[in-house]
Amino acid sequence: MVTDTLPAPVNPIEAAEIRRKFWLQGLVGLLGFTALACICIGPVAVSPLQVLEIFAGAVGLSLGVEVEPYKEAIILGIRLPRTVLALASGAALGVAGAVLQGLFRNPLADPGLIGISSGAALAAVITIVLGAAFVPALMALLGAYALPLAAFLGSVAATLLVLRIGSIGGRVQVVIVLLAGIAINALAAAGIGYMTFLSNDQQLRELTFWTLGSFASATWPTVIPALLAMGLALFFLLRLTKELNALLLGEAEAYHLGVNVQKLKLTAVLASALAVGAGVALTGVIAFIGLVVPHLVRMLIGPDHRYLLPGSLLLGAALLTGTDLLARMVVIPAELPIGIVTSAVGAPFFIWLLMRKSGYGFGAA
Amino acid sequence: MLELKDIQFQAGGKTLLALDHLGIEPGFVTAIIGPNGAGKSTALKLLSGEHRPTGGEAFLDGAPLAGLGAGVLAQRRAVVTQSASLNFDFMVWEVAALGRQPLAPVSSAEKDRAAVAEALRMVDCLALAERRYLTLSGGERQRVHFARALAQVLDPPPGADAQYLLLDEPTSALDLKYQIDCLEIARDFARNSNGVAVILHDLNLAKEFADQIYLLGAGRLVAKGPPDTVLVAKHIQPTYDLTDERMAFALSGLTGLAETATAPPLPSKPVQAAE
Repeated sequence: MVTDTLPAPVNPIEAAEIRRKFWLQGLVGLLGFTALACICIGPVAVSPLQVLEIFAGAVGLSLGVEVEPYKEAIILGIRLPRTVLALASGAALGVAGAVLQGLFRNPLADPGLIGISSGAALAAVITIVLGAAFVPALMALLGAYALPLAAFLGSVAATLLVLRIGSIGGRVQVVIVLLAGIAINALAAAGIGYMTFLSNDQQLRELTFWTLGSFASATWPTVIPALLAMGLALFFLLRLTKELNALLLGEAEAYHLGVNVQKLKLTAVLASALAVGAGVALTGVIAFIGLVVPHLVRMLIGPDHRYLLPGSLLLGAALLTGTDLLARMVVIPAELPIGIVTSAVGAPFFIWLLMRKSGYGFGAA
Repeated sequence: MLELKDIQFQAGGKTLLALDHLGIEPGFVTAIIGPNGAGKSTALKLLSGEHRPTGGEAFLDGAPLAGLGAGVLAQRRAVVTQSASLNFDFMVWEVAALGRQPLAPVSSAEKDRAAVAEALRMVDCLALAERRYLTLSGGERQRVHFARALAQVLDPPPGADAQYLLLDEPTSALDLKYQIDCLEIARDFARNSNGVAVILHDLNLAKEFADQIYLLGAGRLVAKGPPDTVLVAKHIQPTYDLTDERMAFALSGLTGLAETATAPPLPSKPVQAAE
């Protein structure tokens, strides 16, 4: 019935496709570069060739490059798990940020602003301070996994609470959700403050880690379960692209386009909480990546979630590995907590975004 | 046939709509008219499946809507609401292409492109295809959403049953030319063995384009039938709560239908309102 060939005005659509491909490939390149730099650069410098040799050696091959054994230990035992954690956390924050902005149809949504991160941090802090005293058997049983588990449950609980407060008559009211997020964040801050007040010296040091964020404690036994959780969550999140596009028109309109809106909301929120919660569990709170990365990607390749989500994954991972490198390099031999660096760089950048005339991918909030 | 049977819809303790029967028949344009708050949008939301009735049931070809998933329904009908909004700066083309999303399992990229181009051409928006949605005027945005709905139902898979278009005041932001364009498109679509339900405020448009009219008032059916039996002073005047002067004005364009023989011009001074 429809046989018209596309006239000239459609060519810009192809141009947009080419531009998107270009930027996505560019982001892959950027991520490769920052990840490699993150592995190579440090107090002990290891050349990229030596790194390749170490990777080859790990799977039983050899490129014939000379590598001292201690370098191999540093790369495989310390820098690789750390880099992988930074990469996965950045990917999770970027994708979760983009998904939540689409879900709330609001470019200001972010895992931090709506309580996912602070809920996770509060639960983790409570576990640190009270866990051993009140549920010692459970803590002993869960071991190193008690914290990540608590953080995950905290992030889910906070998110569901914010969604619940913000839903009136079954419809999510965006402004109320953001305000509820502010309230939940304040409550969590009060809880964290009280736990700080109760804590002893050693717990206090652990607490500080939560509020500032760090990749320093990354080891394979804790990173691998987090990777599995984030991988599972990302698998679900990256399948939501078309439904999120439809949802941008409104919930009723998304339903008319065949989207099961309730299921979409539940999947998006739970998977975002899993992705971010698993990261926060190991790293502490890392601000602004989830907010800023989707904005940047929209500037480059537009608001279509089919490209926005992969783009946010790549840029989030690249930015966080790059930021980790920066955090390790600026005050050698010490290192800055990662959360300080992302906030110090992210906040002024976000202010610049707000002051710019919008129109590159989102309109008025 | 898309129909509501013995339907009740209550919200906040109030009955917003109670109808014995409302049917959208393939081949015809069915208009739903009535004053503000008469239940027109509620009826359309029950037909689309967006609202579930609190009593009775909505049916598509005899099957209860409650048993049909969102994806199945989306392959049978498209809806233009008054609430569609978009805060993100898609290209016009991309917005219209969202209408093809539910057809992904049965369509191809090539068919999608052709259907989207055809839909945009029909609403005279093809030249806007590369424009940013947020730079469009209100009327242009309404036409783009209409094109999105057309793209959804224009090119169904071979062997598909009748498709339905449900339009909630699709002409509210359109100028005269595009109001008529929009309803001509809807009528042509209906003549192709498809069903159209359209909520209208302009009785002249309803008279011109509707085959069947449902006049609702206060959540109940006042009259139904072809335009010349529904659009008469006997039904319109009490339902819309009009004074004689206003009634004459309302039906002045409906030549031959007004029970007042010749309509006097609208008084230059405001008429004493009946409220």
